Amino acid sequence: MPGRSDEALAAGLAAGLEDAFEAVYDRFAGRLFAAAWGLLGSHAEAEDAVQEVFLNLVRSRTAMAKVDDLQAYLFASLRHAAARRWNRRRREPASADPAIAEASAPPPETSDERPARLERALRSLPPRQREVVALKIDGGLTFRQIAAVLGTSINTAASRYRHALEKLRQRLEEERT
Amino acid sequence: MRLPDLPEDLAAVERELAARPRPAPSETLRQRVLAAARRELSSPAAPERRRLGTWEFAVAAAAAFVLVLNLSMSAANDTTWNPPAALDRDAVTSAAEQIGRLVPELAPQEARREALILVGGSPLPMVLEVKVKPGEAPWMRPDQQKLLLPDATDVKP
Repeated sequence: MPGRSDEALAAGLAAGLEDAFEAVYDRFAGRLFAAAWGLLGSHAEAEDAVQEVFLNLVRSRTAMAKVDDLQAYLFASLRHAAARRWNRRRREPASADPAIAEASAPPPETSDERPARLERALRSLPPRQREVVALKIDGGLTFRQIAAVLGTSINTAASRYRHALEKLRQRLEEERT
Repeated sequence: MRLPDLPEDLAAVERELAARPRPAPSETLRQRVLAAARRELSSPAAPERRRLGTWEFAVAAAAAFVLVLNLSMSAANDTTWNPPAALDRDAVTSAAEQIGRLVPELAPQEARREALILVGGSPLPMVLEVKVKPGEAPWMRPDQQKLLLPDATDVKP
């Protein structure tokens, strides 16, 4: 059902239709994964978070009929899944879990290539700014949707994003000099 | 709502972020997620959680409060309060007997608790200060008058 609207997909989810889940996966999984990777910095953890989002979606499918914005709902669920992983990391800083070790490892300091410097700067952002960048750039959400995901006003979401960009620009300039 | 456009330097950072290389999910993720979803779909969906309304919440909170109050009163009533070593046990026993004589409808356990408070030197003031003279308290039994009224040594029944 590639041409179906998000509302129609939500109704399909509420009815427990398997093809609705497939369609939702195909439509959103790529962006959800990109945002999860932006938030967590780990491939394995990002995949786990995406899987958790879809499992929660199936489990709470009866509530889908009342969801106004399916995208915002999915990304809010992803944010919770990522937060749980962040908390786990804080509790187990020296974890033997390879996913956590991968995420905790900083990008190579020696690399002077622009993408590596950008990634380093991105990871040095405060979590609140980092999540707004992940939702906007990697998740492709609008500020209205980001505000719904974060539970803030549109202006707050936008100004947080702008501050994040300013900080990134500063860090990149500092690294260059 | 129209948000102000980004200045050129920030727009450049934004473009750079959007163009940066990002990993893609593995080939097996789709299969894994959809298989898990299929398994979940074959089991009944979790019932939808209903939020409590204001009145329902108030009623539930009041019921919980009454329940806790009852439980705490039951616990207090069923507790045998033993006097600590520093207290004169004979004084507690004799005070309990006196209280029991004064208020016969009081359960022995309750009289003992009152006696413990009394002998324990509770800083609370006496609830009742009797200012009547003997013979002016017809509502009191002679033995009560004798105990409570200092001059009531010769009260006739």
